[in-house]
Amino acid sequence: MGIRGAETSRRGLLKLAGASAFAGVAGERAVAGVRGKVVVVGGGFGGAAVARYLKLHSAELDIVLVERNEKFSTCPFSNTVIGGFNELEFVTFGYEGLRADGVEVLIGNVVEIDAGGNSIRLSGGEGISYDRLVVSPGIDFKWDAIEGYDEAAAERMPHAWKAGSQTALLRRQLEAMEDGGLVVIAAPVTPFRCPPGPYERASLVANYLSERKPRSKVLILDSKDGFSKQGLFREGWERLYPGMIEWIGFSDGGNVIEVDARSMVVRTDFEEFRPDVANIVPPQRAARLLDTAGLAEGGDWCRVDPRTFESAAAPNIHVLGDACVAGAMPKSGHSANSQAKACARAIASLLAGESPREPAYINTCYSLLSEDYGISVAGVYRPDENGEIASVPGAGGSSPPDAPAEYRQAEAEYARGWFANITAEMFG
Amino acid sequence: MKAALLSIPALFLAAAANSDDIGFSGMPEMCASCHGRDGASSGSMPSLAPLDEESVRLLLEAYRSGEIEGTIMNRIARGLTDAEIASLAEYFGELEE
Repeated sequence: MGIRGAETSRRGLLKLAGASAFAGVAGERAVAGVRGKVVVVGGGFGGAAVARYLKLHSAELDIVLVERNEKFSTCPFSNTVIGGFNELEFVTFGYEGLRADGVEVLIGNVVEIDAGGNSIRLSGGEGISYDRLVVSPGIDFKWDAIEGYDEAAAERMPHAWKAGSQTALLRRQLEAMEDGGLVVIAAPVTPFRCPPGPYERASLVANYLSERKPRSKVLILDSKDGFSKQGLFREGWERLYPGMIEWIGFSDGGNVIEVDARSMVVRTDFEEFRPDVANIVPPQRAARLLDTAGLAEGGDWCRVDPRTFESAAAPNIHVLGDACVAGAMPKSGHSANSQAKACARAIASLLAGESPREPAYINTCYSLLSEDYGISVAGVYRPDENGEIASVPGAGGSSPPDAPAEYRQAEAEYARGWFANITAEMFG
Repeated sequence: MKAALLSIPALFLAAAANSDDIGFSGMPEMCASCHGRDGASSGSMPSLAPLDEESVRLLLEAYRSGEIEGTIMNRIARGLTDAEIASLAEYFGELEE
């Protein structure tokens, strides 16, 4: 009681003094006094969260976060920018909050991980050594997977699967399109970042088109035969945008194999399409930076310990978020954030010479079909006896089908609440 | 006694870590993503800091059993153990202001 009472009053004092609530509890973590240097690569949902929570667990730790960009645009809610509800600024955040917590934020491009030498190297040649490294670099695209779809083609047929300039480009193309136009969204094979994302995007594009260009169509060409929250999306599309969205699965010829960006042609196994706007989301893999230390072991993704997220391929390196194999957890921002919290605890314990305790994880993915129509899927996860992160039986699941409008509206409100809180937690 | 759909705010938790024990499942932190750090929500999810220990425990148990029908909280609460609910109640009870 005494410790907690002291903590609460210290929190109150710091709040009065204008310090962040995080700083208020940071000084009295159980592992106070643990020293060491943790370098974090990537300032997104995994990296920003792990840096912050490490500082929370032990203020004495040196935490260096290396991120390529001064500002981070979130993929979650970037579909609301594409749909015209929000500006790009709404999903764009800086690192002032992390700096205020005592995290050293370096803007730079990491080009090599030297696992044997416990260091990373930046593009300028500068090296940074670490006691523990956390890499949360997200995905890279397999540019060779769809013939003709390379980085140059993405300037005409945006992927918009890393938020920022690509998001803005796709929005501009939709604004410039004439009424009656065809928008193609090519959805990739599993696993990929944000499983419900292409279908939320189709919904919010249809929302814009139905209001402004109602003779237009959205065609989803899919490289698989089913997708996340499929029944719920279809139910919503029929209710909100009847006849506007068509989905073609793999078996019906939806697999995109080739594009010609110059003449705006998209080819599948069976057919050729000439869209006015083409949003090509290519197949994905873990960021190639991880290959410099062999962390993907010749494959696409990085295997990790389900309790600590320490790499199966190299000691003292933890891999979070989309880049890792996290069992039943989907590749989502919320998953990365949840993994980051467990990883921060594990690292604090390991540096203190203690064994990490059993973690539990939560994921929540909200999707908007319109401003007042939301659906969700959630899960609770724990490591199982096979060393996999498994869904807790009986928990989790999707929104119910055929729910009343007030339920869908409540989930749309909660989606906005989720975004406000998770971004404030990481960047505020 | 079933509460009307959505009439009781979907509950859950906030912020930081427990001060005594770096271990346990770390569940209070997991709540912060939706309910705000330190139990202070800046969005439509309810803040948890105002709730006392008993309220947190009763609400979580009611979401878990289905006695209260919310949206996502039933699905999440069904994944919590008794020990976790007790820790969460204690943690957020302490944040009561």
